[in-house]
Parts: sequence; C-alpha cells; structure tokens
Amino acid sequence: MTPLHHALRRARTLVLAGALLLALAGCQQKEASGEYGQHADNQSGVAAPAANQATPPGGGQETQAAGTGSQPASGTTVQTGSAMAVENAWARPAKPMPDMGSSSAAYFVLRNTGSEDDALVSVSTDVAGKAELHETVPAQQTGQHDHNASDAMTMRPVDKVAVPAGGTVEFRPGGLHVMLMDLKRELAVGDRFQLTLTFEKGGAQIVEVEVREP
Amino acid sequence: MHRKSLLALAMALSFALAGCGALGAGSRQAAQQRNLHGLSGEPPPPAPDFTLTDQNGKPFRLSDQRGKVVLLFFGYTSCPDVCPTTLGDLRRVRKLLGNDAEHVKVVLVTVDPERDSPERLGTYVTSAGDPTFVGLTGDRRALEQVWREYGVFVQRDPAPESAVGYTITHGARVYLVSPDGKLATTYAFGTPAKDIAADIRRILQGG
Repeated sequence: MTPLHHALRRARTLVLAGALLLALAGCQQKEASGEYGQHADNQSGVAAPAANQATPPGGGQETQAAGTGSQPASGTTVQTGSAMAVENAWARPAKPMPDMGSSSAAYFVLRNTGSEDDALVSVSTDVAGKAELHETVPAQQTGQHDHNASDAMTMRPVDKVAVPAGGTVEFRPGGLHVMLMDLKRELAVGDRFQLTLTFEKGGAQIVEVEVREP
Repeated sequence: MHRKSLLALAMALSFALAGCGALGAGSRQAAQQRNLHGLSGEPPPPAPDFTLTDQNGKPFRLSDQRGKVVLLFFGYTSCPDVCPTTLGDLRRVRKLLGNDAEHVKVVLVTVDPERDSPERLGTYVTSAGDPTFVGLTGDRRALEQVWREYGVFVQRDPAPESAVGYTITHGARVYLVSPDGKLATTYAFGTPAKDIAADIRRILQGG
C-alpha cells in the first residue's frame, strides 16, 4: 500500500471520528436512562471527597472514613433526639466469593423531620469489613472522563450526605448507596442485619436492613 | 485491523446519530418501524465476534450462539450498584419471557480481568442474575479488543480514600445480539425490563 493510501485512510478515520464527536456533543442528554438515576443532585448536598471535586476546596478536607469510630454497644438503639427518620432500608443479596471479599449495597430513605439541617457522615455494620457512602454517577458528570465516556457510569465515595431540614434523600440503585465490602457472611433474601448510621448532629442510629431483591 | 476500527467508528457513529438530531431522523424512523427500544443501527451491523473464557474455564464464542438472543454487557464483580442492578434487570427480562427465556443468553464480559477470576465471575453472575447467566474473562489483549469493538469505555480510577482500592468506570449499555448474529439494538443503563422483554418477543417472532 502506498503512503498516499495510508494518508487517505487516516483522513477518513479522522473525518469519521470528528463526525462522531460532533454527533455525541449534540445529544448528551438524549435517551436518558429509565428507572434509575440521580436522586441526589448537587442541591441535595452530596459532598464528594476532595479528590473528586473539580475545584479543590480548602486543602485536606478530612475524609470521613465510614466505620469503626462511633460504634454504639451492639443491640442498643442510640437515639440522640434525632429527627432523622430512616425508612425502607434494604440490601442486595450477596454470596461469599472466592479470591477476595464479596460486596453488596444497602439503600434507604432519609427523612429529616426536624428544623435543623443534618448530614449522614458514616455507616458501619457487623456483616461487612467495611461500609462506605458511595454514589453512582454518569461519568460525564465528574469532569474526570472524556467525551468517549458518554455511556459510562462511575462510582465515587462521598464524604457525607446532607439532608436539609424537612428534606428527603433517597438512596437507590444507580445513585447513592452504602457499599458493603468484605462481607463476613452470605446475605440471603429474607435475612436481616443492623446498620449503624452516624449523623453529624443527630448522632448514631441503628436501623434494621432487610435483604431482598430490588 | 484498520478496517475494523473504521467499522467500529462507523457503527458508533450510526448509533450516535440514531439517538439524536435531524441527521438521525431517517435511521431513527427505521428503528421505530421495527419498534425496538434503545439505539439501533440501520441496517443492524454484524455483532463483532469474539472467543473468551466462561466461568467453567470453557471457551465461549459469540457466533456459536446463533439462534439465540444474546444480551451482552460489561461489568466487574467488585461493582456493587450498577452491575447487580443490570443483572437483576436482565434476570427480570428472562422471567417476563417465560418459556421464551430458553432462547435468551445473558453474558457479562469483565472489565476487571486482574480481579475477576472465572470462579468469581460465575458466583457473581449466577447469584445476582440466574443460573443460566454467563461470566466471561480472558487475557487483557483479547478483552481490550472486545471492549474496543463494542465501543465500551473502560477506565480504572484509583480510589485511595476508599477500601475498594480502585473502581472501574465503564460503559453500562446492554447490547442485544439477534439470533442471526446482528447487533440489533443497545440499551442505556436503567432501560425497563419490560421494554427489553418486548423487543426480544418481537425478534423471536421474526418481527
């Protein structure tokens, strides 16, 4: 093949690529996905860790590692006058897996019935080695991925989830979730386990989570 | 090789156009005439063939599935939200189809070959999906070629502040390969199971 042929092919590829980019640029919002999505948009006050923010906030915003810090004595419900209702808590079934731990996700609705803003800052549970607040977002929303990621979804840890006074935040598939890592046992449909939610102002609250299919 | 990448580009372009704008009106209309959901190429291009390894260590060749509808998507076993959601949706699709489900093969191709062993993939797809689901892996080169040919974006994102170590941003579409080996349509994440089931019924009835 002659160099001219190569050049022609390359030109054709470039033109196609250009057309594709234009086409994609024109329809980012097209064909919005159906059942799932972001219930927590920017207004709901999800604070991404500094690493995930387009403009870094003042220095080392401390990551609120989910977990071990404020674990209440097991079996006791710690209610510190919180006006936060945690409703419809459920988690996906998961089997133990070879090689490394298996994971699951827990979902619930937070309803702040009080007159003061609050925020969920960490989560822990006995059934998982680690529990973290995560959010699934279209890759394009992160500003960290190029336009080729138009169909891609990404997951990012979040520092805390703000629930304004009188407000509701829904954790659900394709959006906010608690990622349960290194599960210590199988989560079978019908099982129940306890999840400790720690709020910035309201303190710790233990909720019962039902394992079920979505 | 070069021809292949051109083909992939052309395919991607036709999908992109099918989904938006005046340029795509003709092909969107054609897709609507066939009444399939999602984004369809018109005419549907052949689904790029591949051979990977299933959860039992056996080779799985896409073109050996002729006669069945294959629902193909991409994910990884440390993915707690998007991938199980899609697996659950596709399990519902097979449930909705009743007896027709025997003509439907659901296939997950890993985007995380370093962490996803065949055994792990098997446990993952059969527990979040159903026992007929197939999980595929292979060497990275072979996988990258499949990702590229299907236009699947795959990027490893370090997550130092998280115990997961890294997450993988990946294309979340579901690809429907018709019994004649054509890429009939692709669905965005979250497309309702009943829509996909309706498309499959239509295809199986020769619609």
